[in-house]
Amino acid sequence: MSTLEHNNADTTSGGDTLVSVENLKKYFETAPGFLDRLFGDETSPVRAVDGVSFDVIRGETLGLVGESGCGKSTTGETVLRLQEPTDGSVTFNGEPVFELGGAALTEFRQRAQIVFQDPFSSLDPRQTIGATVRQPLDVHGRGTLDERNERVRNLLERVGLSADQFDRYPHEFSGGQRQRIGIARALALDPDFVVLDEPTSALDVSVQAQVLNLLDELQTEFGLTYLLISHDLSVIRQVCDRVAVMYLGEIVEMGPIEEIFTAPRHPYTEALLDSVPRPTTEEAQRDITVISGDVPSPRQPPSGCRFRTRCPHIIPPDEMDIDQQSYRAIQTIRQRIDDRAFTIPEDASVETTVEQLYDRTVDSPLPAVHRERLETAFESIAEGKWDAAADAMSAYTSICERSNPELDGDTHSAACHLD
Amino acid sequence: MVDPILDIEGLTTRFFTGEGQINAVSDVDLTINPGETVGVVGESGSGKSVTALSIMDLVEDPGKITAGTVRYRNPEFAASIAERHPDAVDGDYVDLLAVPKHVRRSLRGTSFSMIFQDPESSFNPSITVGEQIAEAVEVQRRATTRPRSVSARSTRPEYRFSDFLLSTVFPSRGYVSESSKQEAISLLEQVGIPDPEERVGQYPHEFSGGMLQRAMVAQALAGEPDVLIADEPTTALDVTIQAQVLELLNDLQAEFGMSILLITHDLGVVARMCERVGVMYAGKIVERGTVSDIFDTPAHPYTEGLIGSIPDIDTPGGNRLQPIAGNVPSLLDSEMGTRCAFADRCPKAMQRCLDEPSELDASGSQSHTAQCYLVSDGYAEEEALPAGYFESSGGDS
Repeated sequence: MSTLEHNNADTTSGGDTLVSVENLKKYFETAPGFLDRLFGDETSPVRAVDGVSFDVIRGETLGLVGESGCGKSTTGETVLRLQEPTDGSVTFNGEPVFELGGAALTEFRQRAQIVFQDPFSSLDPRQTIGATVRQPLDVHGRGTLDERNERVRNLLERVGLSADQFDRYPHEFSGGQRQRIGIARALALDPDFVVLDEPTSALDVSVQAQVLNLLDELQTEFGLTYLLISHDLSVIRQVCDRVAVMYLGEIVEMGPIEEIFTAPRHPYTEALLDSVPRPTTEEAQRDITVISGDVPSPRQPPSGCRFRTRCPHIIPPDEMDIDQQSYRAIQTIRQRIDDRAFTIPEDASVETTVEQLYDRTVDSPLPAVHRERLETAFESIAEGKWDAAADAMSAYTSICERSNPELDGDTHSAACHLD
Repeated sequence: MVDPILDIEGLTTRFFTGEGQINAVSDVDLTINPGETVGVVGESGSGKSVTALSIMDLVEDPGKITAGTVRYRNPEFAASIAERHPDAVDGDYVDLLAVPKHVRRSLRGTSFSMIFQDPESSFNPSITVGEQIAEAVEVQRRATTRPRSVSARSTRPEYRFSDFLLSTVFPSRGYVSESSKQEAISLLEQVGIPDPEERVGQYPHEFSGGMLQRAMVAQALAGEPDVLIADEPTTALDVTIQAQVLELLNDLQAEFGMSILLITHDLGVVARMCERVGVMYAGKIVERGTVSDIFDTPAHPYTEGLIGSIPDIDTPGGNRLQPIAGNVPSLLDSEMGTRCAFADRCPKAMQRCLDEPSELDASGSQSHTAQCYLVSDGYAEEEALPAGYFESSGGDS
């Protein structure tokens, strides 16, 4: 995935690449607890980011969108080396970020900045906002104290606060004003690249609009390159030039903003766009495809395509004649057999158990051939033979669970077997 | 026209804190018809949640409902208390704020129920989800069979010493009957939780956020309420899960015919779910009307501003958004004064907005009303406030 995607992005975008991320992985290991050690259980790491590659072109805003837990914030932090990566590389302006040290690392720290999500916890309550904004300048020893204070006053004015608020404390400001302070701090060192990690999700919509407008102005004025992390698709469309959609640690679709929003190629992107309620009168009548289920655990992501457990377009085996709804239901049952997630009544006969399991799991009638397969599987479960049950259902194995589709490498690329 | 099931008039809730009096909810009028979904929309601190809590009488110290009536239509209930509380009863209606606390309390669950924003903190982490739902069922069951002893936490008939021992560890053990547990399973099934027989024995941490929100809906439905108050029911959820929960609420409403009062900050959710909407700002309902009144012909400058601030997901970005200048106002009585609370952010504020703010037309004859002179009298340019009038009071950008 990485090399193909990477080369293409370089040639097709035409612009000058500022940040290049290649096959970035970040796993979080948890130390085994007492019981795990006692019983010899292996703990599996949380695969927060699992092989993502993308380029950020100088001067653009790249959006990183996805639901909570998909790894978008971890990606942002790892790109800035606020987290050490598990694998992969990031190049900033041609230099490998994870190999930098000494003066080169200090230089990188000045040129790449971040604005955090929560304006209430990202400012030190015991420092005046002037000192907070000045801190990066102090740390990197820019100019004399007077020059630094002067720069801070200019910055405060620039982000829409007033210079005489220099000596106030964070609690005296509202959420929107604090976010402006966070932005001023990020701009203090005149960076090239700013990661905006959900900059407006803690704000009310009327204030959000102020902050988005401000970010837009600052980008033009200072020639900034943004990586905007957000779960809010309408914010992404408003602000970004290109967008990458993440699901469970992977990028499933990436491309120019208009193409993604008007002609999404991945079923997940489609579902995500569909799910957002629109503030219009027609909204109550709009038909939407509600995707079922929850995001699986990033400790044990599904084999193959990670979206397959919820996908409304999962691909049945070639020769099989089955409608999508039945196939979806059967796939869910297969997943539960793999997880051994059925309880078997202890003193019931095999027939009643089979009957019960069938009633519990199947809502609409199935064609005879599928019903028989299911009953065979349920019989094995009733006898406690989980592997045999899984075997009985193996005829349903989809290409989506056998292989993980890769981004196809176009300007607008999607990772899906459907194409 | 049908009579509303809930008719709220002049509801006012204040918080008496050390810093002074906070006018959380001021003079709110709202009606909810049977089977209807009414939205209350506003930004944080606009008083929408306190409005919901006031209806349920769940406002905690130092908060107090200081004025208003909450009239609830239920002929049977009205007849049953007419003798003891004649002042509170008016035909089929009962003024809930005029009856004693224990009477109001008996209505929770059976007449009104509430679902909250954060499912993870609304469940007790050390009791199984099934037990918590079964407990709600049990309370309702006892309320209907033995209405006089609802508050007494009595035990079930077949109570044994072993139950007593167990109940020291599992508080609901001695209280919940087997049939309530069965009911909990069928409730979980109704709210679309797959394999409820297994889920019923699991703890809240084994549920995902969306599943827990469904379980909370199940709990709220235990008493088959007439009115379901949903306070930001999907705010903590991702959009794909939000879509699932909203669909569930719609389906359940079609099945049981309850009314829903939906409190939210998300205008998209309002558009999807509601028939009528009230827009709240600084504790007041500044505009109300049908969904098309509010979205197609917003009258109040705040509503207009709110709609203008939302980036549109269906049109290409790049255009500047039209934010409302300034910040959400303070609700401290001493700082609010008597002027229109939106005046300092309003692009068309006039002198009389400061002297004597407009009142919402409460005649009820019109379905679309707004609390603004711009709507009733139009804009008078000669009365406009000079530019920078509010600057001195520290307004933001």
